[in-house]
Formats: sequence, structure tokens, C-alpha cells
Amino acid sequence: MRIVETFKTALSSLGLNKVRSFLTMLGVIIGVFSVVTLISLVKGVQNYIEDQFKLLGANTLFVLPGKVQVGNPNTGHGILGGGFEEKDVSNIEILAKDYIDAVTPAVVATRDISYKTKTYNASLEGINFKSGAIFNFDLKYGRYFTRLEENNDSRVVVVGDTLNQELFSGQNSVGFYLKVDNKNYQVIGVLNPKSRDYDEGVFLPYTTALKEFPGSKISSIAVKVKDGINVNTAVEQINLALLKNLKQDQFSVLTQKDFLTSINSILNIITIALAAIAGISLFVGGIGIMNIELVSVTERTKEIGLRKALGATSRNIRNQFMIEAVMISVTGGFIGLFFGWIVTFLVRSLIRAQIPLWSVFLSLGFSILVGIVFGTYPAIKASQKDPIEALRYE
Amino acid sequence: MIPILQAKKICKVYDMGKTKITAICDLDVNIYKGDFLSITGKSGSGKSTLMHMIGLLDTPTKGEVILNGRNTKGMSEKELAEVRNKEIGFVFQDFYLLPRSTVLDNVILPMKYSKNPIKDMEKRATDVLKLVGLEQRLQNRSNELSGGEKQRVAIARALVNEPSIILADEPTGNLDSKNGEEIEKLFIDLNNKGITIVIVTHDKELAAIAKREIVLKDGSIVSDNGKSK
Repeated sequence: MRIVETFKTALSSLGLNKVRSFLTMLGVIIGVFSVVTLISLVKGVQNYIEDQFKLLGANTLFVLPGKVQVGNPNTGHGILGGGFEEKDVSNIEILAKDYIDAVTPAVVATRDISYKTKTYNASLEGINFKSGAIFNFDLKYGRYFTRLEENNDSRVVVVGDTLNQELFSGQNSVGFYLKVDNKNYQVIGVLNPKSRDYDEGVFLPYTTALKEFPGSKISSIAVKVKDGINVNTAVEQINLALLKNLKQDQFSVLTQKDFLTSINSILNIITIALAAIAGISLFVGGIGIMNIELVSVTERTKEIGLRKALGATSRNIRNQFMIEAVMISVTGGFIGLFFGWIVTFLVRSLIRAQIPLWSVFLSLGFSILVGIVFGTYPAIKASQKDPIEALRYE
Repeated sequence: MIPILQAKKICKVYDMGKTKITAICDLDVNIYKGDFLSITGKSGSGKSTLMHMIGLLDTPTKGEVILNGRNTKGMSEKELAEVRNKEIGFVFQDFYLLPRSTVLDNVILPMKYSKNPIKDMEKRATDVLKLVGLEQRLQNRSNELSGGEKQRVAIARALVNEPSIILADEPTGNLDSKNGEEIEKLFIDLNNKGITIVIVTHDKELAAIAKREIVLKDGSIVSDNGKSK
């Protein structure tokens, strides 16, 4: 029997039990859908982080607690728990002044912010009065906070565009007061739209943040390198400045590229882990295929006997059942991919999710492999049936 | 006259572990072109075993089966399948049609397994279905047919590859007398057209329509009214 005929026969056999065929391929559909969707979402997160860093420019450096080895996701102990002192910030400011334009500590907290009846859960970022230059802030209304306000721990805030829309319906909210932890903070500036992180953010003097949010600390330091200065030279100088107060393993100075490499290496591990977990459902789907194919072989024993009596070779029978199994898994793979694509398309308004080509080949390749691996045993079992015994089967 | 099928001293012994059962022993049969042969005998006489061996569904423990001058002894499973497909047409008591396939598709099935691609399979199947009087039922599913019609489809399927011999195992066993008679008549018509037919049955009425009768008992031929041929 020619292979085209074998395909047609397999297709018509599957068509005779549409519901069963669909339920059998459900495991593969879910498996491929999970793999593709999870990979596309992680890719979306990766794209989002890259976009955020690109907005800052290549000459922005970040100082993080703990030792981070670029590209090694097993390092970076202390990033979550560690912190800096104000002395560290001033050491950079003084000792590396020839290399840098500005430096700011960052104190981050998440709080419910309210204005009248409206409440918004936002990230509050305590930074210094010079940080506008580092983060390239562009004010729509009002002004940025001053050194004086920073020194006085003033409760003043600059709000992002989305937050201004949500709490103040997009009007000029300068002079209005919003509430954080039942304390009033005056809006002194509103930012132009920039990116989601900034648009949903609230920026205030870091001194205020340290004072008003108990337990908060300087979790990172951002540095803007002077134009014309080699970024690596600036990194060396910042390193030297920080060593005045800290040990070498208590901090890491990362360039935008380092940062992205580190984050990407972590995200890659997450991608592999998630894809592996999702791959388990593909494996389970494969067991489902094998189970149903075995049932099918038993149910169609007489048909196998008849086909052999009419001239089918064992190879013909094996190919027929094998192709049925592979068709189930490949069709399931395509359906799963299609649903994965739909979800990726739907979440694109929130995050720049994207299905990498390799994940398409990986999931489809894996689903073909599942069909072959789990279809082999039932196919061999079918092909080995003795025609006389098969025809007599009750 | 050279027989189209020769069974020479064939034996079939089933090994059941401690015991061995001899189903057929030193049996010689020659089947000639145009023969209409019935193989009869009581249950356990070896009829089915003989049919399986001359139909190349089973291989003899001893002896050889020669079909159109080709000794089938030592043939591979693939070669035997090819010979079965080209030279032998089977008709079974239970019809064994693919229930949800159309009449036409059921008849086309053996052609799909032909070693050499067959052109215009649909036309050929239609022609054979006309021969058995089912030209109006081409697109019906086989589970929509009566028992007699199903057996006609099975006969058309057996004929479609123009085999040297048709082997029918109790072809009227599952039919009422009216349909049984129609099938008997069809076999007579086909034989009159020169088609070689072997019917395995314990039904004496059916056996009587054949021109030649072999009676088996305990795996041996006790009578063959056409041996002298």
C-alpha cells in the first residue's frame, strides 16, 4: 500500500471516531498549548525588561547588593535581602564624580494610594532630586522635587500618566493630595507617558520613603555615566568608591548589558523549567494516545485479520497504526499551537509576548516524537497479529 | 492438465506443549482452472485448516503448496501477502466488511494492497459490483446492507483483483435460505464464467452445487470425486 493510501486510511479511521480522536489528542493539545504559551509569556517578560532598560540608555549603571556574576543565574545572593547605606551613595557621588553625571538611591515600596473614593495599588519609588536626569523624566504638569524637599523628607510626589488617569481622570492634578498609609502627599508633578512601569509609578524623595515606610531600605543605586566616558572605566571607579564602605562581595555594579544578560539567563532557566513542566502533560498525552491505540488495536482485531487476508503486510498494518498515532499527536500539536498563538495575541496589549520560532519547532517536534514513541508499541502489536487468530477474534 | 493449485503431502501439526494435535496429515489436493470444488467434512475434520493453508494464511508443518507453478514454501511474510493479494480471493461466513466504509471502498480495499498500482480502481470496483448485481448500492455504507447484499460485496471484493482462485468459507452460513440460494446461484454463474471456486462447508446442499466434492475426515481425504481429472 502506498504511503498516501496509508495516510488516507489512517485519516478515515480517525474520522470514524471523531470524539474519541479529539479526546485522545487533548493531552497533546494541552501540552503544546502550555509549552508555547508559557514560553511566549516568559519571552514577553524578557522583552518588557529589555524595553525598560533600553529606555534608560546604555550609559546607566546599576549597583545591586550581593555578588552577581553575569550570565550565572546561581549567583546574586543578597539581591532580595541586602541593601545600601546613604554613605555608599555619597561615596559614589564624591569619589567617582569625574565619571558620572548623577547618582540616585532607590527605595521601593508597594502601597494602596487613594484619592477621594478611588484607590490604586502602585509602586512607590523613593529616589533623589537628581534622578530625573537618570530616568529621562519628561514632565507633563508641574515640577520635580527639590534638594530642599529631599532634605526635609517632604511628602511630595510626582505621579505617572496612568496613575494620574486612574485617580485624577487625567486632569492636571498638581496641588492635589493623595493618601498613602493615611498620610497626605502633595502631587507636585505629572509625567508624560513613557512606559508601563513609569506610567503606573509614584516617585518621591528617597528620604521620605525611608522615613515613612518602616523597614524600607536602599535596595539599589542607579548611576548615569558622563557622555564620552567609557562605561567600563566608570564601573571600575564606582567599584573603588564602594569599596570604601563595602566588601567586594557585598555589591555588584552592572551595566545595562550585564543586567540584561543576567536577567535573560535567569529567564532562560525559568523558560526551561516551565517548558519541562508543561512537557509532562505532553508525556501524559502520549500515554493517552498509547492507551487509546491499544484499545483500537483490540477493537479492530478482525479488521487487521481481514486486511492481512486481503494482502496487507505486517508493515502495512504497522504503518497504518503508527500514522494514526502520529496524526493524533501532530494534529493535537497544531491545535495547541493555534490556541497558544491566540493567547499570545490576546495578551499582547498587556505584555509584548511572542512565540519564538524555536518553540514552535520544539513543541511540534516533540508532539511528533510523542506520536512515534507512544504509537510504536500498539502498532507493533497490531502488525504481529496472526491473520487466522485475528479473524476468529470475538 | 496443470493444476493452478497443488497441495503436496501437506501436514499441519499444532504444538500444544505436552501434546501435539495433527489437524491434517499427508494430504494431496490438485485444483484446476475452472474447478468448482467443495470441501466438506464434520467439525474438526480439518476443512478450515486446509483452507487456511491453500489460502496461504497458514503454512504447512510439512509438505508444500504450489500456486501457479510457484512453490510457496519458504516464502517470506511479505511474499505470501503479495501472492494472497494477487492470486486468492477470500469470502468469509461473517462477510468481514469494514462497516462504516462504503460498498465501493470495501471492494477497492484489496487493490490498495496491490504491489503494482492499479489504475482506475473505482471503475474496476464498479464493474465487479455490477457483476454481483450491486451497482445501485455503490455509495451505501456496508452496515446499511442486508446479509445477502453484504455477502455479494464480499464476493465482489474477492473478485476485484482477478485472482486465480476464490476460497469461500461457509459463505451461506449466516444467511437465510432465500439469500443463501441467491449466493449459491451467484457462485454457479461465476464458475460458468470460468472462475475457479473452492467452498469449504459442512452444508450438504451448498456442497451439492459444486462440480467436485472432497470429503475430509480426521485430517485426511476420504473421497474426492474429481481426483481423476
